[in-house]
Amino acid sequence: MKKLLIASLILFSMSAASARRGGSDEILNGGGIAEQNLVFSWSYLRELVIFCRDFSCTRDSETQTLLAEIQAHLAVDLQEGQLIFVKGSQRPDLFPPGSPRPQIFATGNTWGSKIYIDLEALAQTPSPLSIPQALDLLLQAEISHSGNKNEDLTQKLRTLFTGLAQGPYNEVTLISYGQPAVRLLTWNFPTSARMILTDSTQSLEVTQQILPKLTCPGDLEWTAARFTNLVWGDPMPWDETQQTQAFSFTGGVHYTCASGQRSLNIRVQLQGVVQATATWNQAPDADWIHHPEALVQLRPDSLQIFISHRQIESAEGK
Amino acid sequence: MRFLFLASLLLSTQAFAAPQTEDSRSSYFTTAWAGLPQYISFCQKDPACGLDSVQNELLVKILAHIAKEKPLIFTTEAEHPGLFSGAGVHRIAVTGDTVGSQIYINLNEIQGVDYGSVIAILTHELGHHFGIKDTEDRVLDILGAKVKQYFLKTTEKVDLGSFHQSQIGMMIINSADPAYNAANGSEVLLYDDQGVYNIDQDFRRFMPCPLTTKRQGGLIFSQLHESGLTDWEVRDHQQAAVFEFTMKQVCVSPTENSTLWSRIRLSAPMILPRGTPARADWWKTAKAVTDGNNSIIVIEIGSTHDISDNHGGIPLEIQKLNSPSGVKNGETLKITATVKTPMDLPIEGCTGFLSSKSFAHTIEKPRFKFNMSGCEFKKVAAQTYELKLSHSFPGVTPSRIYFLDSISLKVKGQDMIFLGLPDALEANNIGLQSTQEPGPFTIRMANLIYRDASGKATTADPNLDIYSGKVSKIPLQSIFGVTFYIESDSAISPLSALFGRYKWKMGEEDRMDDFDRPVVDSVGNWNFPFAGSTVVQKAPNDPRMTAFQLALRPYTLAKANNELHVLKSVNYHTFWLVNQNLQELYADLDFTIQPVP
Repeated sequence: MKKLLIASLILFSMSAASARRGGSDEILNGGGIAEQNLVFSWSYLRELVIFCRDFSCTRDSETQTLLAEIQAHLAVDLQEGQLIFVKGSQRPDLFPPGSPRPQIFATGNTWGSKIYIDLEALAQTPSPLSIPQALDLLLQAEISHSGNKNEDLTQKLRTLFTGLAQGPYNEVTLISYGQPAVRLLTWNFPTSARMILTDSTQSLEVTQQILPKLTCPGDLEWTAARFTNLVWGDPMPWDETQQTQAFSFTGGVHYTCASGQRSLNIRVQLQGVVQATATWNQAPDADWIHHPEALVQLRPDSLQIFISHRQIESAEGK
Repeated sequence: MRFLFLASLLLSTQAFAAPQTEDSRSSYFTTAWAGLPQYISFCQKDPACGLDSVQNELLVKILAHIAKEKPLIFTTEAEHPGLFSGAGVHRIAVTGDTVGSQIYINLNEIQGVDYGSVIAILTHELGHHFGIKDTEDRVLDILGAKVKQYFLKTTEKVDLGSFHQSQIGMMIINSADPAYNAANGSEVLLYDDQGVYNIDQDFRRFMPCPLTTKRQGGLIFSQLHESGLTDWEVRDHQQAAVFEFTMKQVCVSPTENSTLWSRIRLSAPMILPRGTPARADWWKTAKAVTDGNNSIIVIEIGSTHDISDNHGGIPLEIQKLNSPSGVKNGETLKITATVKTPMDLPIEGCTGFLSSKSFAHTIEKPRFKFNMSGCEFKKVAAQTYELKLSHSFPGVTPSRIYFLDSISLKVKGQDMIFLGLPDALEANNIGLQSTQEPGPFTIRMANLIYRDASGKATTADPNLDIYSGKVSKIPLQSIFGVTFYIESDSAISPLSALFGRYKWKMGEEDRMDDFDRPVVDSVGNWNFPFAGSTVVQKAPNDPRMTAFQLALRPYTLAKANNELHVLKSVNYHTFWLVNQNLQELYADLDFTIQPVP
């Protein structure tokens, strides 16, 4: 396998932090926050790639193509154990001494290539690598597995994932009713927002039922929205005749209406209700849908969204 | 009669005492360490955590031996040169190879670490105790990441990001197994940029099981959300942010056939000084709020539903609404509405709720919300009902603006409701023109009683001579109670609400707090939950006069810098009385009680 050494684009200033090196390491085992963040980000990156597969997260065709390639290789890439932590000074084959800038990782240009992380380079960052930084770094490694050399495209994908990772993501589950698989996912991107309802087998895009209901007064036009404060209400009791149960949820939607220099920030209350069926291999009782073994399936056609409580938060311009 | 007035219960401030050291971020570690057996177990027992067989086996071993592990030690590289600086990495924690090996946490590295990462780090360290090294493939980091990821996915978490204070938030942690939650309850954590505070046990006393209960199960919390900020209080320069969640107490009945539970809504306001980061000992002012519909003394079979706002009800579409623009004293208010349910279910009852606003008084008070006395419904089409709502205002009701707050339809045989909220909530204003303003009431203070440390009771002022401007002194460590008498020109209902506001001084800080209406039990006793004490006073027979009693416990409070703050004084300011007929009255009383060492 041809090794491609990636000179990582680390933007951290190299301070006198190399003083950390040294001391005995033989007696005690130790955990580092940077390593933990890298390992966590690696599985998080896989989740984001799957998210983009299940719910299209970009309209740019080039980016879509590159993403599709990554998604097509999920069976061999973005896998547990693919990150290897080494001391760079002991692996000159991967981290040649005398590089002008220390590089944190090295990897190949084929799918499933290991990603080698230099612990010594990690130690030289002025503060431990954060999760967004780790995610960006690993995405660069992942892109190199695809063999892509188009810098513009690399940059587009990095921007997309930075947005995905930093756009506040929220997830509320029905765990207190024994159904952690029934989830409401919201993503607030800078210019748009997504809401997705899932059970263990399917996902339902809620966003398109909400956005048309966000109306603007006069000649103002809708520009951006974000979802906050989502919470499930109590499920309705099981309906014996329909063999369904209804779940409700509420939340806030903040959106902006604008025209020229004028903008209006509005908050509305969102309420939703969705019916679900459930199967379970034991005799039903009053609480059966709440049993962890019950397989709850949402009925996409039953989803209803209500908007109320229109409230102006702030207004600018005349 | 159901109460729909808001009431506040003050939580013990000790329960929210500040951490004792400046390194309060270390509480992220100590709290996570205490909860780690649960967090690891939740992941280990749920296939959704995605463990392979080796990882699963290691977690089983960790759980089997976790009781033998020692408390964490926090230290720095300066104190122990070389301890954290090995291996050329930023080390946040180190430990040895065997069960019970000390885990050291590096105080230089813990700033800014989030709670989930702390869980991952501690799981990692415990893995070392079974001989697993930090090999190149970092199996322990992978294991820690899985426990963390599962924790993050299954935890309800809300922060104040909407108000640019995302460092402040709350988490509710439940197992995916309802039986575990019923037996053990949930974990509730409040956090800010310096610490995390476990508060679930502080709520237990708000939800006692009835005496007939065979055993008490867990307190289950869910449906966490933030409810915005309270209005900025100009006089006190403070503001509260409110988190709300549902609490369910599992009480197993003697027959084991049913589970009794009731629920209340709770909120945790905190001080948010305007223009400064919110980090001002806010947990000291945490409060539990319940509305009368879900009062702590009401324990019913099944659930009671919170209708004080729009959470919990299945939405109801209000298609038509006709309400008069005004009604006169002594008349009956009539509102008609057509509502549509989102699905067809049998309906057995309906209720309309009115709110009132525009109280003209110097101190802002909560809005009143109450159910209308009449509601008739008729099904006119599939999922569609016509409602006739009515409410009579007695001739003495004061002038005020009312509006229709919400409408609920009750599903037959269930506690569940459909809840309809008028789209433009306050566009349905109904002015009420009063023809007769209610008479005033007077309030007298009597019988300042205190108990010293030995429990001996002393009446400080037997001659009722502490009135405005006077200072009464009582021993610092005592509990003291004050009896107040109310006299009114018109009859005071024993079911009336009484609430007020008192001012207290702790160290150099002035604080304001509310005390709220007493809960009246079936034999007419007034239970006044206040400052951690409850005092019962039988209402007198004379309907024009009644008495209530408050209790206070002057206490000292240690702040983060170990400075001792002593309660210096308590001043009562304003009392409001609202009776059954919605007469609202107020009276001021100004005096000082000053604890002395």
